[in-house]
Amino acid sequence: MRPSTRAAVLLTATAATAVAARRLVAARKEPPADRIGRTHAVTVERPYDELDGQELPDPLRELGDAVTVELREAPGDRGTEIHVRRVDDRVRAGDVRRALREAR
Amino acid sequence: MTCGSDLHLLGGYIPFMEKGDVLGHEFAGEIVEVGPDVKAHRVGDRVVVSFIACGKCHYCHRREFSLCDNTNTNPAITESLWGHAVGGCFGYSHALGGNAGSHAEYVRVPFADIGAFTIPDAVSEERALFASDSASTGWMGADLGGVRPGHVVAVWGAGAVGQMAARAAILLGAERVVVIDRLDYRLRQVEKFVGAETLDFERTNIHEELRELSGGRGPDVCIEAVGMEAQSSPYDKVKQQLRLQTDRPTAVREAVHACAKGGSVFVLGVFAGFVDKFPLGAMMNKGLTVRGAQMHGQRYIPMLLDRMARDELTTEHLATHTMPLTEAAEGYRLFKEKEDDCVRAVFLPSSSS
Repeated sequence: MRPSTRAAVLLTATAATAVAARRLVAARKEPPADRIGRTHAVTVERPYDELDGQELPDPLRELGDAVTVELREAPGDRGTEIHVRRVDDRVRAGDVRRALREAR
Repeated sequence: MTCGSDLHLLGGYIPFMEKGDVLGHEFAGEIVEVGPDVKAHRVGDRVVVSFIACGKCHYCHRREFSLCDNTNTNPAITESLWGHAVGGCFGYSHALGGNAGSHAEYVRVPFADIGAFTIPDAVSEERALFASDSASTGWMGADLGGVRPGHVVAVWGAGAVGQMAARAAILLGAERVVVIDRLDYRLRQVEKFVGAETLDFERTNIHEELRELSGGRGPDVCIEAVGMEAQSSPYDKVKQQLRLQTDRPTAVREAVHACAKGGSVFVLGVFAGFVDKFPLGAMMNKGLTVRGAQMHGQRYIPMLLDRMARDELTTEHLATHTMPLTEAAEGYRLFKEKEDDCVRAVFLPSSSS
């Protein structure tokens, strides 16, 4: 094998090893945001009592029964936390995050 | 006692050690002799000792004792490295004064009225030992990081300092405290002895988890208790070995990225020089306060000893390996390699053969 060919093979092997290693590490971690049952949350500057029992903002209401929504009083007088949990794959995690951003 | 920052010295990351230097900066013991200017202590007192500070300079008056102007006897080194000299420290290389450390039968304590504290009768030496550095460093991270009731606090590193920072955050009223590490036995200690939640960074996306458990906000205070030899990508390790960066700032990067807008990041882990890929954009645009310090032990030790006497702060579980000083090399090996569930190795000079 000529040196340049050898170098190319070595580079390719190194790159492949690096990719494989990255995938291995990624596989060990649970998928960050798109796991069913994963909770996504935002905090809004509104008192819990003011939001509890109110109709949800449109972006969250439009997700329908593909999600469950829970309100919690945020600690430290920070307002209210809105926690949204996907119950199945009718909506994607990105849709939930987008709805939360718009609802805020 | 071993400390993670001693590993930086042993590993050559802080290149100001000389043959014959004595390590050790976290210690407690009995006074066998006092100098003529010592008024607060007598022979026979049990004491725990902090870093070296004069008690009279501007910085000591501001209770920033590790910044003491008068106790680093080699100020030129750190003036070149960091622009100014910081205070002196036991057993921490000639950059911090070249003072002989505590891995010895006897240690000379300069400014003993300022830096040595009598251990209350109700507190064992084993417990008080951790007030010397681990607990005071951890408390400083929570205190100067600005932990308040209602805060969500994340701590990177489940070693002794990280555990003490988490405990401090709980005692200061934080709503949720989460400690991040990869070593299961240390995370179990956090849950059992500290009372904080845990995350394993090898199994979890830390940024996602911290965001969701804080209601989407991110932690109000992020405390880094890892330092310059953090578990890192090959990229960072290679750059450090090639001296293209002196420190591996993995946990600092993650803390800055995860921190809530307007939040605070406190760097407790020891760093020596320069880092690469510091997320300055995140820091600036999110309006973060980023601070760090060597610990101002004198500021906290009396309060910590009181809390130890009331059992609010317990540390015995951290001393996983107690051994004669003659076995210090093995103690450091266990500590460095994280073998046998080692958190800290404590050396007893009196049991040396």
